[in-house]
Amino acid sequence: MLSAIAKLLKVLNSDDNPAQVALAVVFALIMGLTPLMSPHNIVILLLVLFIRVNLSFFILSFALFSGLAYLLDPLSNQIGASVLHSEALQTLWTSLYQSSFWRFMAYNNTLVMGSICLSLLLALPIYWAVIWAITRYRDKLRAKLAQTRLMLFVKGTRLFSLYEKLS
Amino acid sequence: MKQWIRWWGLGVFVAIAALWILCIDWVVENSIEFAGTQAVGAKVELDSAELSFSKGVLTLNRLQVTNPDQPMQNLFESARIHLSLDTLALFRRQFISDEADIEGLQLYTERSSSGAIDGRFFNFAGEGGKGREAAIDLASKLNIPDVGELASAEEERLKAEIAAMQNEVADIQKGWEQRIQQLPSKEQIAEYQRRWDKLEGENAFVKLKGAKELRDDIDDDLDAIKSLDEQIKTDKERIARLTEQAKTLPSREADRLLASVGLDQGFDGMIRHIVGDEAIDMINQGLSLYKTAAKQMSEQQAASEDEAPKPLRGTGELVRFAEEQPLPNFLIKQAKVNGSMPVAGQTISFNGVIKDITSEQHIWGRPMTLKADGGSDKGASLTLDGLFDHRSANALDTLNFDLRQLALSALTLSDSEQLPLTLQQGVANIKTNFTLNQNGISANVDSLVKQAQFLVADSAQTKTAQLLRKALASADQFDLKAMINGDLDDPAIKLKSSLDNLIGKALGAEVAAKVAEQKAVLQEKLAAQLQDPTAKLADSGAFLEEYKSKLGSQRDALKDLLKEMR
Repeated sequence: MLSAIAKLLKVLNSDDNPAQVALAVVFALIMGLTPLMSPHNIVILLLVLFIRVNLSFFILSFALFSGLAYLLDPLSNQIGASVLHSEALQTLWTSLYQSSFWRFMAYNNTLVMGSICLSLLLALPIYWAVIWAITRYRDKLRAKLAQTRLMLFVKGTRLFSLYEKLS
Repeated sequence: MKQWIRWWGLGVFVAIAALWILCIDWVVENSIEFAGTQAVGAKVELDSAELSFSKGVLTLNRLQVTNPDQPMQNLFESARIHLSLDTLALFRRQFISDEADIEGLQLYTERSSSGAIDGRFFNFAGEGGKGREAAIDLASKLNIPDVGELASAEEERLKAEIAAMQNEVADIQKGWEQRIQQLPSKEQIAEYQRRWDKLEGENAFVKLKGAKELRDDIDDDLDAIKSLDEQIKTDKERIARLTEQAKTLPSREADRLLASVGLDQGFDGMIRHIVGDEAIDMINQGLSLYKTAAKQMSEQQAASEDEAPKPLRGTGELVRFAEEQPLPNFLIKQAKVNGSMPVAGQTISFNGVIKDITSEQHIWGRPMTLKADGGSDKGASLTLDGLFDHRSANALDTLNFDLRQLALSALTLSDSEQLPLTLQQGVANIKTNFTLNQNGISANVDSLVKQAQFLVADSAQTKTAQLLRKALASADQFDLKAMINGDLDDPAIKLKSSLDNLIGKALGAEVAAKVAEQKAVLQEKLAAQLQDPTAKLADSGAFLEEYKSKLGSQRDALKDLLKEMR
């Protein structure tokens, strides 16, 4: 656990591209909020492994969003049902229903549809928010935080020595 | 761009995909076991599964489906099931097979380990089922239970019944105490007299008006007394009925108690006491198999017609849209079946075809049909055909089963120590017609056994056994009819046979005399137990006479006053 936190601190304090961290959080958001065994998550897994996104942030965020999914499931289910039963979209859904590919993707499952809608809706704001937070942290907070009493105390702890070893 | 690509990640993904493909058979095996177990309510097991996407073939080796009513028995097991699959349909989450071969199908095989699921409740029809409850063998029928024990076991309950009658009489009495309070008292009648005396001194106009008011009041009271007279009549009749019920209670209870131990039917249905357990077990086995299959045929439709159940957390609900060619989620268009089933100690092999096996007949639009024939190496022949139509809410299932020339040998009919009875040999023809619709089940099983030879074991030397041995020696042919009617979960099963008369004639006088004698003793014991409370009840209606005379005297007083006023 300590080593995982140290890794995260290292990423925050390094000069890694913030977009890689933000993308990891967004992938974790989609995978965490939607049912894990949904076929689209195979694609997400491929992207997570193939694109150089930050894996530590992905794993931590995935755990966080999976927990959040327990609370958001009823809302996602409701969103999915409304979208799938929407009169205006019936032609689209009916034509997709004739395709084996889309049926395989379980687009007609209320929870899959609802949670994908929800996660896509949150994806962009979260992506930009993470980039903004990391940039701001590195520009403004990192130096100030290093001088605080708390940080001086932290520097004397085992966590910090672990962090030092990793950097 | 290079800093955005992680080539080893692609390698990991390929490795995961390869591992998944290598494990697909294991995944299929476990998925079938899991889904089957959920559907049946008892363990469904597979030795192995082999799925070939390229050939579109799925092979299941040794599928075992546990009987949900008996965890140490399989409802059926199949050595091998070979299915040709529409692989594209699998991507649509549909299991569509044009043709299946079900090989080595066996019904009711023994299991080496329990098929019960942890934490699940099994329905042991044999332990609590209606059929078994009523099944008493002939030996126990002749071995009449101790009437003293029967009477003392019921004493408290019967006394409570009479106490309830006494309470009812007490309630009637309480009601009367209240009613009597509302009647005009002696003071009230004296008050009427005073009013009249005062009016006599008034002028004609006041007297006329006052007399009318007084007469109205007296008429009201007389009406009230009249309605109470009616009430007295009703209550007297009720108390008389209760008293009569209490007096006849010993006789009625004697009949009921003898019926509860199977001594009420005379000799009609005698065969039930001999072959009841075996026959009812066979019928229950058949019904259990049917219920498991029918549950799969109907539940999808029921779910779509009733209010949709709330989906489980994390699962959601699949929304259906119009399809050009709608197909159910599970469909086997045609399955060739071969297998065997045990019937009365021998194995009947069969070959058949089941068409349109699906859980959603309303989508597929065709009912499931079954045709099979076969026989045994001892010359028995079997034909079987059925139609299972669950396309609408008014499901209709029919099954006809014709088994001919079934050689029977050493078939134990009763293994009781007092009356061990065996059918040594015989040749049976069994014909079954089974129909199930919204009104319930209606089935007839007609059996005729020829060349019959019975054996009452020499170890049984009671007079009953000797009489039965002699009677059955002349029976070389008999029929056995089973009639199953009513609700599928709790059907009424009646057994009738030409043996009923035969056994009745042989044992009739003996059993009838015993039953009559025991009934008289039981009735006497019950009457003695209930003598005191019954006598108290008979006396308890006396208060009504008292109230009747009270009503009479008040009515007379009021009428006298009216006369005087004229």
